[in-house]
Amino acid sequence: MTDPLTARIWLFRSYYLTLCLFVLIWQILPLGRDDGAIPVPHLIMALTFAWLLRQPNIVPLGAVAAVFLIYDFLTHAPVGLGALIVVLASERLRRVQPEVANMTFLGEFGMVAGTIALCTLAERIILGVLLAEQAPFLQVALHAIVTIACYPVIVLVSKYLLGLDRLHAADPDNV
Amino acid sequence: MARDRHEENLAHPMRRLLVVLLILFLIGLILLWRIDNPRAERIRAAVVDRIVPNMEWAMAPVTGLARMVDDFQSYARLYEQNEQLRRELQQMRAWREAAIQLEQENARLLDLNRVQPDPSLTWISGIVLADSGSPFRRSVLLNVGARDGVEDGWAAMDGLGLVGRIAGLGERTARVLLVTDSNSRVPVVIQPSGQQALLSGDNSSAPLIEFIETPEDIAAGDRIVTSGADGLYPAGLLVGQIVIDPERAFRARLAADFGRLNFLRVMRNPDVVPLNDSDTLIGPPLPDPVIPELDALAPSPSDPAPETAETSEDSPSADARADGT
Repeated sequence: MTDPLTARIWLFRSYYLTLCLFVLIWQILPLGRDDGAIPVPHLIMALTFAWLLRQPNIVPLGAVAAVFLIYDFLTHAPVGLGALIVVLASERLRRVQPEVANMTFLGEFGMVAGTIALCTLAERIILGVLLAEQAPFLQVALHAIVTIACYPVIVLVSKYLLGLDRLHAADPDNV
Repeated sequence: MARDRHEENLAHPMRRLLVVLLILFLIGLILLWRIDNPRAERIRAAVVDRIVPNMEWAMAPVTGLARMVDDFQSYARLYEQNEQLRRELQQMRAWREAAIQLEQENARLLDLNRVQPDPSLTWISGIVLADSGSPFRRSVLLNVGARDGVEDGWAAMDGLGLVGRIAGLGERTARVLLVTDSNSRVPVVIQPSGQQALLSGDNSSAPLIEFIETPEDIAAGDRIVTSGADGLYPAGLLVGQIVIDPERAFRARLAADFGRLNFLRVMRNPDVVPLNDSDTLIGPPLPDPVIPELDALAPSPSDPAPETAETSEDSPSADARADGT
């Protein structure tokens, strides 16, 4: 139980949950910042994808579902919709992670950008099928673009500040 | 080798089952949210009630610090601000004289007419705990809830102008849907001309004014107050002033300071009927239909005017609830 690999995985799992809690608190602080033209990026989504593609073990399915369900509840979003979409996307990314691990960063970035765009599109389609009210398309698209743009920053921060490096398929700890 | 283990791990039947169960659970939640919205919103309110007040120890210091930074930035413009404040103070002194005279005159007239001020318009004060946290929704969370006597649908103001109404109520917290939210519709009256209109939020800081009968009678700077036509908002609450945007559309410059909402007043309104079932509307109860067969027909234009007006003005707010956005 106490071998260094397990300890490290649990350390990063706790980092993940703490960071998500931090971002969530920061987003709901009543500071009235979001009146500008550029929306705040969906940091938790970018963080989840970035870490999932680095070390899938530190972002377990249960944590993803719990974090995004709480996010849906607190941000007054459709209950469970964001969680469902991100859980599906994260399962997909988990499956292709070994291939992504051997790509260049550009390839990974393209993969994540496509995933975020698909998530946004899926959300709109599901809301459309359910005949629910939707935010204007331009705002939603801008939100997705800002989220994609902040992805490299999150990767840099997690690599150089937290020491979370990409896992290669040949590494022995790729479990 | 490692790759095989990875695939094997993901394809483990137990894990697959868990994923499927989780997805079914989430789909169930979405359907519950869409079909029985009031219940889903009650669950949401209960969850928020559990989480947010417990995070206050972390949020309060950060909020305080950020506000201090904001205030500190304004020191840079201290001199200009001082000058501006002096000028404003000079004007205010003149207004104060006028106000005192008017107050005395008003008191005399009220005394002559034996008017009793409406005792039902009292308020409950609350502190803003949290924002909506989403770029597409405009709402804030207050630290007062059902246990303080707050009810769904009551209007919220800051010291000066209308801010929104209660949409979502927990035991210790209440969510205020701001008038800037794209789901918010408020019937208003524009002051000197007395025209009825609808203030409809569009997620911008200046909501649109729609359905004005004669736009020629309206000028920038006209006062906007609530008309009370929907039975939700009390009549006569200050909303803001008319501005005209570059596309010649009328918008409202809100009187409340939405940049820093801190303390809000929730106006008690005994006329609001709370929403409990999924098939009811917020607002005063509609009169019972006399003949059921008539109900099935499309509403004829000869329907009594107030009834249709109420229905049409209620439905956006009911939609807001039904969509949960």
